[in-house]
Amino acid sequence: MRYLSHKNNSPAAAGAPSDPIRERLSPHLQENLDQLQMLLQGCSDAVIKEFKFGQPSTRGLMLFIDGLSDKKEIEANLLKPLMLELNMQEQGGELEGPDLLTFIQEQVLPLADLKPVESLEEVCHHVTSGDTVFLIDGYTSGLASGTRSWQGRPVQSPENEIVVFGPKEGFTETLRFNTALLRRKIKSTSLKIESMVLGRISKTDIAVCYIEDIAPPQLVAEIKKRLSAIDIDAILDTGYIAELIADNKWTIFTQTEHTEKPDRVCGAMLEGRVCIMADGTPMALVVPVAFPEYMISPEDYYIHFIPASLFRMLRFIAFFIALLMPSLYVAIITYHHEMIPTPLLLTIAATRQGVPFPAFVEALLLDATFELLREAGLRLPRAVGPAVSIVGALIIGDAAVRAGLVSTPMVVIIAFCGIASFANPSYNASIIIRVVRFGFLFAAGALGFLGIILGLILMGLRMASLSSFGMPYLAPIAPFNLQQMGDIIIRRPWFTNRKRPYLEGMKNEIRQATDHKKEGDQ
Amino acid sequence: MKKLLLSLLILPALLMPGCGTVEINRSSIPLGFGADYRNNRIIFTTQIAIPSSPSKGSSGPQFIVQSSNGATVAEAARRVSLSNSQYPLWSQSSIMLWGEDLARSDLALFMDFVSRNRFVRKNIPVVVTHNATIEEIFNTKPIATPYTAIAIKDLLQTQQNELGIYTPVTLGEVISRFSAPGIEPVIPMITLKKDKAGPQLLLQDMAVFRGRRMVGTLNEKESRGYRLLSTKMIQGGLFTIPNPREPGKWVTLELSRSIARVTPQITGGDIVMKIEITGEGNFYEQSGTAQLFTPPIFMQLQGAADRELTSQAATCIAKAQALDSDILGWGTLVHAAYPQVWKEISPQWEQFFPEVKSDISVKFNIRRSYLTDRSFVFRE
Repeated sequence: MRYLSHKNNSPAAAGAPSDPIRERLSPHLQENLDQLQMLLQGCSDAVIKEFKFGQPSTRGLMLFIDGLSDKKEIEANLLKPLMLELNMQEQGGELEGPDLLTFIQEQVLPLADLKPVESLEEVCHHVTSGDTVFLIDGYTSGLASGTRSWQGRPVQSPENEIVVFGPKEGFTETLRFNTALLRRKIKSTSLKIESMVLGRISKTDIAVCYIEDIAPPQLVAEIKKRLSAIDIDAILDTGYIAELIADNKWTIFTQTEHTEKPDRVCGAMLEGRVCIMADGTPMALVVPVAFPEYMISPEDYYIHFIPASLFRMLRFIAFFIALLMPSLYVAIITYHHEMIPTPLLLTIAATRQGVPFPAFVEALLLDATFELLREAGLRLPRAVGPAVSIVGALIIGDAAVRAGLVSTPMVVIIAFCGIASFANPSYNASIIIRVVRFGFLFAAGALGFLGIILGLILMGLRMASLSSFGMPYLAPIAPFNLQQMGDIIIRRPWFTNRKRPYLEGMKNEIRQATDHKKEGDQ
Repeated sequence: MKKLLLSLLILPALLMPGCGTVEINRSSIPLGFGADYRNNRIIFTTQIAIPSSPSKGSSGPQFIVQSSNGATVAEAARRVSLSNSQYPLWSQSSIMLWGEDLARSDLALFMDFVSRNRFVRKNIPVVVTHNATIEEIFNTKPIATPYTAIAIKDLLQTQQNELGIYTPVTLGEVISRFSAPGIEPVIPMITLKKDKAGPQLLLQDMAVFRGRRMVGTLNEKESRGYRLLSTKMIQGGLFTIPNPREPGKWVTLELSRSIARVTPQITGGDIVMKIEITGEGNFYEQSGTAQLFTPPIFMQLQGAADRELTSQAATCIAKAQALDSDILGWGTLVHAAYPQVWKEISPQWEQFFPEVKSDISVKFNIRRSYLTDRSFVFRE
């Protein structure tokens, strides 16, 4: 809650609107125009068009941002009705009603999305969001029409969460598309998409999505409370939010799940979780999340439960391999030679002849090199990517072994460990593994198995002390819940999966009718 | 700040591996070791592996045998370091050899070392050498495997499963048999046989101990009897009996499992060990063509098997009593069954043991005959 205490003396953002902007629009168009021109000074993409319409001719003002609004739509549905059709209509009869603005809104403009705007602040917000604002001389309010249209990425399959079975579409950078993807999967009015605006300068649209009957109300309230407490200049990605609303901030163990996949979000919402999306990023945030759930891939639920369970167990094993493999090897080589069968020891000893570094240093160097290659590989331009992978993996690895700088078993171990860390479906979890692994390496180098056990105990204690929006971070392992464990290590078959995983305060726990046959017969 | 300073002090300390831990780079791997006694000096011999990477390939032996001597075992063992710079990882040793001279003189020279030493595993087998020094044994190039020490260990296991003559014994068991009253150790022996390609390993006889020294040996039949008299389940092995229908021909039976139940009984002043051996096995081979699988012949076969096994057990008992060494652990059995009696007789158990009577009954069942139940029929 650090940011709360800072809220009272929060610094005014540069160029923050001064008071007049919050007041109602002036009835004099010229005054509004002057104000707007002052505000939009230097904004070369803003288009202000003055025009006259009607009989007697009235002054109007049209304002939009070039590139964010559909010019053709503005011309066809705003300017044309006003400047041509209204004039034609006028010739036939009197202007009806006392209120020109209401008349235009209700009878002239063939636009679905029309909202009244009352202050300059609202005008600016709508315009910078891509709407077109229409002001008339003599009125203290205007109209904002939804003409948002810009070049965006189409819906593609996410590059980082690849699945073989199941839906392949992924979120885009446009919030509206993303919410539409959710609505397409859950065609119910229970799916609530509440929006709010965060970021003093960026004015980013945020959507809080949940299913009303399932998500615990106090959870939704808590999330909204924490979101509204955020006072920051900009939200460029949901990562900002994840860090700002976390229960425990000073820890590597992230308490939110990031995903680009609408099916994953829908699955989470059907379990009572809440999804937070922000405009401008394809990454949706799912809260609360417990650590064991990082091992679950949405694909598990799309394939047969037996292979899915086996794959899931494999992933848990891979988690421990990725976490502990190098440190176990170092501990055994350095301290616990007795653990190795003699023939294996002979093989290892043969490869380690003449290696100048102790096993710990060797592991540290190789592991760091691996991380370096991975990090470099992420940022590489596509054209040079394969080249660097080849240089890194083959040439450096092979040359180092040939030169006797590292031993072959260590290369095998690190490579194995690297592969195991990619088996994890969640990027968040693999980041945790990568960091904590080095801790274990140090512990093993210092104290052998004792160090590893100490590390595991400390990690367990730390994780058990965390929570994600009140949900224990190790649930359902600690506190133990047998019923929910049924869907952690293994994937519970759908035909026995009658209840949702319980979240504190959840009301609607039943997921599935208890008797299938009956339902089928009727 | 204080915490930071403290952790800065502790962290480098943590990165020092403690004393007694040696990186593999600086260690040698002794595959087996042994001790002998000559000219009042302990001679300590060890076979050290020369690890060779599989890619480079190797020619010549992949091990080196080193010997040194000293007044005590530990001193002799550490004198190896005068010529070998690597720390030996004793825990990797897979066999322990005792020279016959050491075994026959006094094992007090050695037992303190092995019972105290925390590096030597207690589950490695012990073998006594016969007619060969430990160096000669270790320098023998085994058949189709690189390391002699591992070969001896495997030899013991393989012959037990395949042939069933000698019973391997672990160091831990030897230690407990030396220290427990009413039971004496018996250890397989190894020697070298001449072969065209050079000397080869050969398991032969078992060394019988009494008190602190070796007093005699069990031959092959007695060793078989010793194995049969074990109160633990034994599995594997072959034995041969005369063919009941063709004199001069033989039948080989396979022992699939057998267990002896030994119960001491005290009647009058006599201690009688009632020994019931129940075993079962399979018909393995006959060196004749007679049809043996008829009910009366079958009973004869089983009877012959019972007699053969009884005689094996009896010769073993006779030898043990002749050597006055309670290798069968009858003292411990008496102790368990008659604690009061044992209290009285245990100081003179050496006098009682040769007088103990035994009553052996064997029940051997033939279960299977593998692929055919008829004899092999030649085309006439």
